[in-house]
Parts: sequence; structure tokens; C-alpha cells
Amino acid sequence: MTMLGFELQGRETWDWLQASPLLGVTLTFGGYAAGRWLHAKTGSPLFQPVLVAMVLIIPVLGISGVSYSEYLRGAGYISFWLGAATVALALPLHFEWHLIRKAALPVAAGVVAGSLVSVVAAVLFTEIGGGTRELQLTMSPKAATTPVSIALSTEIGGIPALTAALTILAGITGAVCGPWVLDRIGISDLRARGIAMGTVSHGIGTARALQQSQTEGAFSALCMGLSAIATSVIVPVALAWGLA
Amino acid sequence: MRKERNAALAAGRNEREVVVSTGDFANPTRIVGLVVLLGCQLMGEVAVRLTAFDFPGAVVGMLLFLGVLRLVKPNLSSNLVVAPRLMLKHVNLLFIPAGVGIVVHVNRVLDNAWPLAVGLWGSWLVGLVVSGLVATVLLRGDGTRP
Repeated sequence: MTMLGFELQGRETWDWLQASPLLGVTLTFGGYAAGRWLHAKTGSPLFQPVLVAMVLIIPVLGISGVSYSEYLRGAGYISFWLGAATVALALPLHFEWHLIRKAALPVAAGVVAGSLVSVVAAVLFTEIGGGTRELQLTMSPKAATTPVSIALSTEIGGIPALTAALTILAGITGAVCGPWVLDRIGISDLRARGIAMGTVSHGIGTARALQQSQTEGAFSALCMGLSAIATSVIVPVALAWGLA
Repeated sequence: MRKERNAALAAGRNEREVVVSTGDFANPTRIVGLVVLLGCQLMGEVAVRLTAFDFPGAVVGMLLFLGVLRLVKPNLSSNLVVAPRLMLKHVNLLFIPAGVGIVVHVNRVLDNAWPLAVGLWGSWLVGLVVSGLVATVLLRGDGTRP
């Protein structure tokens, strides 16, 4: 197409953009910025930045015909930092250490009970809903943080990539509804709230807990790590013993 | 009304706890925290592979970083903690790529919407409630409630 004497190279430019990491990075930051803006504007926990970004980015990819692997070329640079952010969770643990060391038993009991119930119920409820055995296995490790749930799903014969998506959804559910449910059942101790959030909603739940208070966030961060350990033990054992 | 005020108070408190001004990063020694953070992750990832221990290296890295923090005992404005604080403030950004990954399974999710919804939300709810109640009962009456 000739315009004002220029030769516009639409096809070539689009090909370049699709191959460039710039697209995925820009979409992810843009979705996040929109999510934070909506969250601040409305003050509603429903507008979780992760959820808003997904709702915005997914249709853009669909309409423009950009595949997920093309998107990941840029977005991969962003998710890379998830590991470092996990390490950074030591920070609230350090600043709330005086509370944590006195609560070893409630923390351990809360995590083990919550993880056990979560794994058994995941299999049971998926079965009640009419899901196949493969789907039940895929669901079972979803309360653990993403790298652990994916590894477990692979080990027991689930669908690892679907487990990853379910894990993210479990986190978003915790961020959106967790504090509301805890209010309804009258759990007001910040430490217990953090323990519950970290056990079933890993990093995304912990991000919400950190917004609520540093104490809640610290307990959530700790229990997210412990829940990963507990789930790694419970899933294979529960399957072997026929509990799930 | 009270709810609103509490929310405003919580927001204000949060602001003070986690806000990082750009001036913080103007100081070149602030980058130390990032190097220590990545160093701990690297050691954690290497350790789990060397020992063939089936566990996320980043969680091992978290324990290593906790060890460093316990030894150094930095305060909230220390060089060691500015970068990790900034990262925690924006941790939600880092989950977005994995969340968008659901598009790959959209057909499978829609075909099995009912069992997946019941399984996910049912087990999430009972796990949250049981964990919270067990912790509450055991924490009750220990006199250190914050």
C-alpha cells in the first residue's frame, strides 16, 4: 500500500511484532496496570489484577491470532521473576519471626489438616461432579504452589498444564473470596487467616494477605511453603492408601 | 462506615510498609538486595538438582534468604530489603502469564466445566475452613494474639 510516498510494510511489521518479546511484555504490563487501576478505582476484591489482566489479554490474543507460545516469548521474561519473588517471601517471615516461632504447632496442624482435606476433597468433589479419574488426579495437587503442583500432576498421571491453570484459579479464588469467607466463619486472628490463605491459595492468596496486614502475609507465605511440602507427601500417600 | 475507615487505615498502613520511592533506587547500593535474592535462588536451584531432591529450588532459596536476614537483621529501609519489597508489592504481575495459559485448555475446561468447578471450589472452601478453624483453636488463649 502506498501512502504519502511511503511503502507501508504491514505484513512484515506484524510478523516482526509477533516474533518479538515486546508484544508479550507490553500486553502483560498493560493488563496489570489496568487491573491495578480498576482495583484502586472500585476498591472491590473482585477486580484482582491477575483476573482483570487475563480477561483483557485472552481476547486480544484470540482476535489478533497470536498463539500462547508466541505470547510467552515476551511474557516468559516476566514469569521468570516468580522464583525470585518466592525467595523474597522470606522478608515478611523475618519481620514477623517473633510471632511465627511461638506458633509452630498451630501452623503445622493448620497446614497438614488443610492440605489433607484439600487433596481428598479435590478428588471426591471432582468425582461427584462427574469428572474422570484423570481429571480427579489433575485436580488433587492444585493447592500447592505452581512448580510443585505441576511436578506432582506429572508424577501421578494428571494433565500437568491443566493443573497449572487450576492452581492459578485456586489462587485467584483465595484472593477474591478468601477474606470474605474467613469473615463469615468468624476467623479474625490474623495468624489463623494467614495460615488458611497460604495453605489453599499459595502465592496469589499470599499477595492478598500481604495487602491485609504484614502478619497475615507472613503466616500465609510460611504456610504456602509448608503446604507445598505437605501436598508433595499427601498426594502420593493418599492415592496409595486409597483415601483419594 | 467503620469498614471504610478500617480499609482506609489498612491502605495507609500498607503504604508505609511497602512503598518504595524511586529515590531508593537512585542509590546504587540498593541493587545489593536483588543480587542476594538471585544468589539465594541460584543456590537453592543448584542444591535441589545436586541432591536430586524433588522440591522447588525457589522455596529452598527462600529458606536461605531467611537465614541471611536472621543473621544480618536489616531494618525496613536497608539496602538488603528494598528490592525484595518492590518485588513483593508487584508479585501479582508475575502470575499473569501462567493465568493466560488457560487459553490452551479452554476446550477441555468448557467440556468439563461442572466437575472442574465443583472440584476446585468445593475443595478450596473446605481446605480453607478446616485449616483456619484448626489454627484458630490451637492459637486460642496463647496470649500473644497480635
